[in-house]
This record gives sequence, structure tokens and C-alpha cells, in this order.
Amino acid sequence: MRSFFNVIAVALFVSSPKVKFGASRSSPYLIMTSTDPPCPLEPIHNLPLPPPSHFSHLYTPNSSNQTVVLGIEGSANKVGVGVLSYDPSTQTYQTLSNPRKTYVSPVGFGFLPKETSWHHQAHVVGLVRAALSEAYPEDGEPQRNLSAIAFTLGPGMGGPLRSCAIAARTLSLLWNLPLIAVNHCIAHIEMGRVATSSSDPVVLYVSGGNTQVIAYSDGRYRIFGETIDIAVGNCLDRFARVVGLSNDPSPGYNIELEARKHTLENPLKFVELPYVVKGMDVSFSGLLTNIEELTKSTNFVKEGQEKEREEQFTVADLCYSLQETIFAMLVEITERTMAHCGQSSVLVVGGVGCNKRLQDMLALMVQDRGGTLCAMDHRYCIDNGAMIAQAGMFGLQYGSESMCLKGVEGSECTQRFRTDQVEVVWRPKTRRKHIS
Amino acid sequence: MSTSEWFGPSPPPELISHEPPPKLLSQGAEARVWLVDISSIRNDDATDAPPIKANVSVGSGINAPKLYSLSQLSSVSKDTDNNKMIFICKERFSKKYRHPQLDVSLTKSRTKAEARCLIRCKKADVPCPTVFGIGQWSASDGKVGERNSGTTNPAAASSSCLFLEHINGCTIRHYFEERSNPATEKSELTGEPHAKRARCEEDPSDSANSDTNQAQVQDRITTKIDSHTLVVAHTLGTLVAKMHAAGIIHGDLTTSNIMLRNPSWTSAEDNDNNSSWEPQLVLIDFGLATSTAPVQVNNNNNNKQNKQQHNAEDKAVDLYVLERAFLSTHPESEMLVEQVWKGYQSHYQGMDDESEMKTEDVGDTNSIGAYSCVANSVMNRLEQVRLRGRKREYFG
Ligand SMILES: Nc1ncnc2c1ncn2[C@@H]1O[C@H](COP(=O)(O)OP(=O)(O)OP(=O)(O)O)[C@@H](O)[C@H]1O
Ligand SMILES: [Mg+2]
Repeated sequence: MRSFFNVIAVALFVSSPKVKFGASRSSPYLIMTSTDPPCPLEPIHNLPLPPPSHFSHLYTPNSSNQTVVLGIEGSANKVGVGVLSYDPSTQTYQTLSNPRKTYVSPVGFGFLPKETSWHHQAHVVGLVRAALSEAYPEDGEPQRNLSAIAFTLGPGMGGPLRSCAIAARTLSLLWNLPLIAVNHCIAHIEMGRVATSSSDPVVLYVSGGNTQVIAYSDGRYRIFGETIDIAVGNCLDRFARVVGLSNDPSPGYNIELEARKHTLENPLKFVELPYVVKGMDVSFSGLLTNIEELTKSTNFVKEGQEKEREEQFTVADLCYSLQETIFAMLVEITERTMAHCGQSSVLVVGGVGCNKRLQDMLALMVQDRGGTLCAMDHRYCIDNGAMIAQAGMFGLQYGSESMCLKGVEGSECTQRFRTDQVEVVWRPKTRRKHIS
Repeated sequence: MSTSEWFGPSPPPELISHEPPPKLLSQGAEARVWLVDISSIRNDDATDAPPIKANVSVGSGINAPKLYSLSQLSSVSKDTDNNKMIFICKERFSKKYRHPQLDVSLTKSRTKAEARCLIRCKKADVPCPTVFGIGQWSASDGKVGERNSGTTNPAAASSSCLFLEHINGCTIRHYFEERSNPATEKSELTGEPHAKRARCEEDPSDSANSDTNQAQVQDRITTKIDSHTLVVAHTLGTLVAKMHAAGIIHGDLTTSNIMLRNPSWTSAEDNDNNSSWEPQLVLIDFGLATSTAPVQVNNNNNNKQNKQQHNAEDKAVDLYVLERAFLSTHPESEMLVEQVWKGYQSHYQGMDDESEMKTEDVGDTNSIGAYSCVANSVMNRLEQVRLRGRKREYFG
């Protein structure tokens, strides 16, 4: 197996001569791997699977009659590789392995394209190896089980995307497997639907680069609400940087920890911040400017100092108020979309979707509407390889012409790639209707 | 509400003992809309005491009228169609998920803003429901009418109600969808208000529907474009322009928030000679509205012009929300959106023509009028807002 990893290494080396590969091989693999039970196909209401003969020119099941896809994700600061299988006898999808690595930037800085690309290039080979050997521990040539390679075409940061695409292309050529180009947002949605068995939820997709409320209609995932300026994760990260919170494991998580200091006995102070909802859209930039100003005001109590007056506030107070305000905005536009589409279930995906407070608020809202909330933990909420494999698997099984590439043609990454650009061929082409 | 069964909401405290019981018209995201029938109350036996003692100042010198007593109400809503005396109660209720401080401030400020903007729109002759009154209460301050002191309703811990004229008709969302649906196009529908509930065809519970599912897979429904839907879109554009010119930013322009009075369901081809049909649109749901200075153009003063540039952003975002609502709700409705923009610009054009007639001292007749400039600057700004939307897609 070693030889082909060297090929990818060389390919990556050509794209960026500054990377030392020796270092990556010796670095310990951080493996956060799913131990979830297999996900059934039935409850999520996809179209019935087409007969195998139909797309047999696209792929072949392996010797045990399973379809297995390896997915590579690296559109932001996380690089992940996942192996996902489909078993026709039980009609279930199963995540066999899903290791991931996260690039953590220094305190006070965001992650920049160049360093992030280096990080991904350094780790992608090791992750592919780890994913395959975990999925097929006994097998000397695990790649023989694969039916296709899926990778993220966009949206995302150019450099990191290209780094992973090079790895995907190389593997596809080496192992003579079809390449599937996946939209990152669609991957989040499909992973969420399968993992939580929710057939047709309203999707709140909240991450460092995206804030969208999505619902399926007539062959596409349509964006009903979104941010009109910066993404929610971006807003959290930038605030964390201003007040000097650590980026490890993520700035958003550290804000969550600060806000959790709020208890019934010791409530934190709620500082009013601008609350901007326009239709089903939200805006965060005014709020961010406002809270940044607050950290410069005389009422701001720095870390280690004591609160003396009632009107003063601490970092924890601000983190708490920030979360309460922006999450209320997100829950509100989600609820508006539910009312608009007549839906009762909500699926929350994306890195910010792991936030417990956001999940609690959504659950309260959904409960009042007589519906259900589908939420996941960090394994599937945060960018990962299995989700790319899942969306790629659907594209492969239903023969999506835009996703299944011919050779490596059309595998150039695109930084802008809207969710509603993808034709969702694996779901019924119905549209919502009023009952009158 | 924590039980597994869901019983549906109860009416606001003041209407809980009203006969006949208020009918829930719509359970929106933040408000319930109740239809209250007061036909049974005759003037002489109606109590004169206002059901809710509230006289809320909604700011900038505008007071919402005190809630009319039921006898007064029955006289104002007398001319309602069908001789039914009905009015609408829009109840904003408390949200459990929100921080209490935020919750109270949002509920109050939105009800006030809605009343304020409705009253301003009325003054500017922009069609919208008449405000009959506004009432706010919380369980703790005990202001709920004494008559009802026996009934406690924890669900309405704090809520704000707006009492409005009832519009007989349907939302234009419903109108566009029904017109686009070939099965119902020719059948005469009543203009009954419909519950704003929709359902998804893939709902696993109705497996009996799977046949119709199959049918729908084959013929996709696209939005009907005909002379009627086009004129509705054009009229909508002029109304939005009129509202903007009066300094009101709606904040939630969707096709569910615009109603069509007494819609005509006959197909456009059937009455082609009736080309002068003027749809009566009514703007509703001003909960996210804000008011700014009305558009005033003074040819001698360029400063005003600059100020308008500033407001162009708010107006453009308003239009952007409307455009997105159209395209996400009504497949292939680009032609309708185009008509909305045409209507929008034509209204400002009309204002120019009017002011030209008044002043008559405009130097060169070739230059475009000052109001049209305002419309153009809003449309240009809209293009920027759209671009901003797409650029943002750059990472995931
Ligand atoms: N004055 C009125 N006359 C008749 N029907 C009305 C009136 N006001 C509202 N409705 C009906 O109730 C529905 C919801 O009203 P409205 O939009 O004001 O409430 P909402 O809860 O703010 O809605 P959402 O938050 O979902 O946008 C409307 O779509 C319409 O069908
Ligand atoms: Mg509405």
C-alpha cells in the first residue's frame, strides 16, 4: 500500500513544495471515530434504489455485494476522510470509519488559507490510510472494497479544497475508481438526514462560513433564510478573538463554556445587543461591531478583576448575551421557515449546531409546534469525511450526472457553490402545497 | 405542553370566554391570528367598558386607539363583507426559548412597531388593515379585564394583541399557488381565509397519497404566468414603492404577507376583454417594519438626495427579501419578479410626473426626474445586495 501513498505525497508535493512529509507520517493520528449504529434507509424517504443494471457503467459493488464510498473533506480548517458502505440486503448505510484532523490557529488569529492548506496536505494521506485500515483492519488491500471516491468540490477556501481534491484525483486514477464531486452543504444535509432518520426536515445549517435555513422542494434544497452579511460561526470566532479566548478546540466551544457559567443561583447578566431579523434573513455585522465596542467601554470588567457596580459586565456576561441573542435570531428564522413550509421537524447541522444551548432552544421551539428536533453530536455535525461519502453515495446510486465525473474532468474546485445549484436526484420531485 | 399529545393553543385571556369561540386562522412563527365574530353582540347589550384597558403610545406622537368597546367595535366593522361582523386579533405570545428580557422587549416592540407602521401606512394611503386597538398584558400585572379574573391562562404569560380589520380574501401566495395548479384553476373557489398550513407530499403518514406522488413526479408545477398574475405582481410593485416613499420599510415582504381582496379565480383567457382588472392588494404583517423619513425630493437641495442614498440600503434589502421569497416559494416566477420591479419604478415615475405638473419650471425635460433617481438608486443598491449574498458563499 505504501507505494500509492507516495504517489499522492508526490502529487501534493508538486502543488506545494514547502511541506515536509516525513513529519506528517510520524505525527500521531487523532482519530475521532463514529461508533454509531448503522443508519436505515427506509425512514428517510428517498426514492427506491434504482436497479443495479441501470448505473452499472458507473460503479460496481464489491465482492461482498456492498457499495463502499471513501469521502474526503477539507473545505475549511478540518480535514477528514470517511468510509461508508451500503448493504442492499439490509438496505442500510453504515459509517465504517471517519477520522478527522483540525487545524487550530494561534489565539487572536483566524485560520488563513495558506497554513490551512499545508495542514491538510500534511494530514490527508495519513487520514486515508487510517480510515481504510480502520474500516478493513484485516485486509491487506482495503482499497479493493471501494466503489468510488467522493470529494468536496465546494464551497470553501480554495487552497484547502484543492489540496484534498488532488488527493481524491490521485486515488481515483491509482485505483481506477469513479470520482464524485460533492457540494459541502448538501453533504451536511444528507449526513444529517441519514444519521437521524428524518425524512423531510427544515434544515438549519450553521457553521463558520454558512448560515442558512433550507427546505427541500421540487428537486432542490432551497434556501429560505440566510445571513445577509457574516456567518454565525464567523461572528462567534471574531468575538472570541477580540476577548482573547482560545481557538482550541474551537472558539465557539470556548464561548459556550463561558456562557455555561450561567446558573439559576448565579445568573449571568444579560446585556442587550442589536437583534436583526429581516424576513427570514438575519444580520450579524451590526451586532458584532456593537459587542466589540462594549469590550472597550469602561463597564467592561477584564479577566481577573472583580465586578463592582451593577452596570458592569464580564467576558462571561458578554458570551452569554451573545449566544442568547444570536441563537434566538436563528431559532426565529427557523420557526418562520417551518411556518412558511408547514413543516414540523428541524434538523440542525454544521459546527455551531453542536452547541447545547442552541439545541435546547431549538428543542423548546419545536416542542411548542408539536414537532421534533433532530440533532447530532460533533462527529457528524462538524465537517467530516463520512458526510461527503454519504452525499457521494446518493449521487452514485441515483446516477447524478452533475456529481459523477468522467475521469478527472470537471473536478476543479469552486469556492462558490450554492446549495440550490445541485439537482437532488435521489429525492422525489414534489413540491409543498397548501391545504385550504 | 410537555405531554406527548399536542392540544393546540388557547385564545388570549380577553377572548377566552367569548362566544362564539375565536377561530384560529393561522399559527405563524411568532403570532397567532384569531378570527373573532361579534355578530351576535347587539349594540344595546354590549358592555360599554373596553374589554382591555390599554392606551399604548406607539411613539413619535402616534397613539394607537384605545381598544374599542365591543359595541364600538361592532359599529366600525359593520361594513365588513357578507354582513358578518368580524375582526382579527393578532396575538404575539411569549417564546419559551428566548431569554425573558429579550422576549418581553421583542414582543412589546414588535406589536408597537406594527401598530405604528400600520397607522402611518393608512395615513399615506397605502392599503393595509385598520388598527382597532392594541392590548398588552402579563400574567403578573393583573391588567387582564376583571371580567375574566377567574380564568387563568398560563400559556399567555405575557402577550400582546393587536386588533385589526379583517381582510376578506387570501394571501397572494395562495393565489399564485392555486392559479398554478391546473386542477383547481377553473373551479370557483371561495375567498374564505385559509389556515396557513401546508403539508409535504412526502409525509410518511399518508401513504395513500403515493399515487398522486407519482403523478407529481412527472408533471412539475411551475408558477402560472398570465395577465392576471402579472398584473398582481405589477400592482404589488407600485404598493411597495408607495410604502417606501412614505418612509416605511416592511422588513418581511413575502407573498404570505400580502393579501388580495375578493380574488377572481376565472382564468385570464376567459375574460380577456376585462383587461382593466385592478387587483386590490393589502399589505399585512408589519411586525418587522421600521419607519424612516418619507422620501421628499427637493430639486434645489442636493443634501436630501444624499440622505436618500443612505436609506436606499434598507429599501434594497426589503426588495431583496421579497425577491428571495418569490423565487424560493414560487418556482420559475422570475417574470413576476420583473413585473414587481417595473411596478416599483413606475410608481416613482408617477410621482415625478405629478411634481412636474405642479412646479412646471423643470429646465430640461429630458433629464430623469428626482423620484425616478430614488427608484434607480434603490434598484442599483439591490444589485449590490444580491452580489454580497453570492460572494459570501465563499467558504463552508
Ligand atoms: N387582517 C387580516 N385579515 C384576514 N386575514 C388575515 C389578516 N391578518 C392576517 N391574516 C391571515 O393570517 C396569516 C398570518 O398573519 P400575519 O402574517 O400577520 O402573522 P404572522 O404570525 O406574523 O405570520 P408569519 O410570522 O408567519 O409571517 C396571514 O397570512 C393571513 O392569512
Ligand atoms: Mg406573516
